[in-house]
Amino acid sequence: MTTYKAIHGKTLLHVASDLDTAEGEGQIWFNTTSNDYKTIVKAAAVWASGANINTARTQVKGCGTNTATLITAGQTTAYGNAPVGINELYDGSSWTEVGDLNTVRRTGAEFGTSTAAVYVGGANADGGSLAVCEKWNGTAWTEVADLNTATVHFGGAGISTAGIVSGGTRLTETETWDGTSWTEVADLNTGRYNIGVAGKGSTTASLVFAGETPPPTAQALTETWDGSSWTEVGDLNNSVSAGSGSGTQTNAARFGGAPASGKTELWDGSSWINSTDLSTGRIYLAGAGAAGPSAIAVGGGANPPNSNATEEFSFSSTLAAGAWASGGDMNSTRAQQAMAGTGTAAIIAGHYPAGVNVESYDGSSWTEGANINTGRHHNAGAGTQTAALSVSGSTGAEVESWNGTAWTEVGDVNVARVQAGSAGKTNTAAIFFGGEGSPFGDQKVQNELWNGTAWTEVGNLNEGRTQVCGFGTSTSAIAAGGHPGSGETDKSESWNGTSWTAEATLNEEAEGRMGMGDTSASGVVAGGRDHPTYYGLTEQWDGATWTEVANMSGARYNGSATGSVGSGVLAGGSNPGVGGSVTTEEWLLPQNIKVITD
Amino acid sequence: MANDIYNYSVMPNTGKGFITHEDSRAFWIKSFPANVWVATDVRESRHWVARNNGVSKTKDQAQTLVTAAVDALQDAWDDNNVEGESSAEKIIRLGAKPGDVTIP
Repeated sequence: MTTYKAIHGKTLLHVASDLDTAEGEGQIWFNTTSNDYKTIVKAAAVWASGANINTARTQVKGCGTNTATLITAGQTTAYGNAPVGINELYDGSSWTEVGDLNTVRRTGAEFGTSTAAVYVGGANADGGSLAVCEKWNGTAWTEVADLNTATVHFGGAGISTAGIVSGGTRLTETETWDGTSWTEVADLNTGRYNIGVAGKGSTTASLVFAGETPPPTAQALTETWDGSSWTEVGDLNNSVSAGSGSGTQTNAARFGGAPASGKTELWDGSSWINSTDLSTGRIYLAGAGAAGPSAIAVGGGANPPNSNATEEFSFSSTLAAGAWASGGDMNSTRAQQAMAGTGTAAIIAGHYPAGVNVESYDGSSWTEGANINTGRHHNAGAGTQTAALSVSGSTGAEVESWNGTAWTEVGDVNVARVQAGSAGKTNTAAIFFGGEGSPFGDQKVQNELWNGTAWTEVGNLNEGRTQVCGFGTSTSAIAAGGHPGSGETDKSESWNGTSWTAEATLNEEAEGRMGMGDTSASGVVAGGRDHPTYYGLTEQWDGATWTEVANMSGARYNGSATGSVGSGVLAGGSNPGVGGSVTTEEWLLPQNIKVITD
Repeated sequence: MANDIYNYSVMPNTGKGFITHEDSRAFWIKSFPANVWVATDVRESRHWVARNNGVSKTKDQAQTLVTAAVDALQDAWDDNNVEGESSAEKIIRLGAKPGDVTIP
């Protein structure tokens, strides 16, 4: 496994349950429960609609990524020479028109980012080829040094201070840009126009493909640039011209092209494979994207002659959607008790008001087990079904530890609290944060770390709050939502073992949400209340954003939850006018996990 | 309306959310001139048409709309000429003449 670690920076994990997507992507692990080596297999990338551009057009060029895209110039009439200099920016949600090019034109070459780009060459209103070059600074275009040879129907790659353009009506010629001037360098092996380019290439590693040789003959040719010369490499599966592309020399996509095709191919550095088609086939479209399978296709023409359509290509949303299913009812009514374990092996301790009952869940039904020593509610939990903690709550600072047979009192927390958050996957390492002290209304920022023996105050939350939801471990956790003293909050924070960092806000402000997740990289929170409204909504965390996913069967808040983003269980909670419930719901997010058999 | 394999509808592409990644995974979908859409006829694609307020068509009705739109494009291409320009130069300037389109 030395080699595996050298490649991936990790040793091969031995785990009792499968990794979730965030943890497992690109990894191989050994499942000690099933005795299988496993990995996650991605589903194929597909296209989805993006926001329509403001000005439908063809012969448009683009650069940047699929969430920060710049498209420039083009033609708005069906046929004839009527170029425009219109420039639009995409933020992943909508297009905004920004400063126009100084020289209107179509089918030039563009490269760079949405805030620093170069647009060069193209055809003017008389159909003549141009050498004019302009530089974009995020606000306006400024004319800079001309190309050595005017051209049209070509392509470019790189950044605003180091780019390369090739092909076009001058066929084989290639020029490089150093931020100040253009230099002619070695020619393409096969001269052609209407080529595709992987726009994130560079002056030392570029990729061009497809195009047309005169008389008009579509090509499947691919060439790579190493900084000094072009080399022919593996052909496309389809001969095509006037399409577009995205990505780098080793990870690219080609899409669209004559005759109004939606065909898409992916390049892995050595060969092309067919992928799923654009839903709107088109020619002379703009393409951009950091990699092959994270591309954006914009505008273009044919049928209709000027399209305003955007399509986004990605592996995102490749996992089947998560969903809730009914689980077996608990034997006792509960609202926010200590809960620990997994979706199919959980334990819940205490019940309202100040009860001692404990129950265990096996994935289908609850069974009563040994009671905690001191009855309580609004306590926090951590650990597994056989090694858990019940932390503080309605009767004070006491903490009890479960060894699978009996509960034992262990070290008290420093600050007694109710309705606090917690995270921890063992009964020897956990954190306990936020909550409400005595008297009520004293929302806490304190965070305490349990080392198996004692609690120590560590980095405070940035925002004090009660009824805060938590998941993760003692070194990698999320705090989400809650009641900061006035109203409800949509704030989330991540814990790295030392300090809390503000993360993206939830989609809804709510207190008393219920969370499950193995680390700060992924998780799910469900339910909650934005007084007086109760929610059944669920939000999934991918380490960067919260996305609303499938709702629970009913609205409730202040229940308990445990598990991971892939499999969890949620139990109890309050509905309007009802101070608890026995209801259990199971969360399952299917993973594209493959057992490695040879 | 649908034949045994596809359903046919007319609706404008309204942008973000019109076709989601989940839609693309659930069924094959392709646009044609005149805002005609053809999708594999499954429950999910019928829901997609309804979600986007599409108007269902028979295959013949959809083909008629597509043909009329393509005829107009072909006429526009034929009428766009520059004196002294060769056919090859015209194709470089305008792209190839739009071909007839037959929906599946």
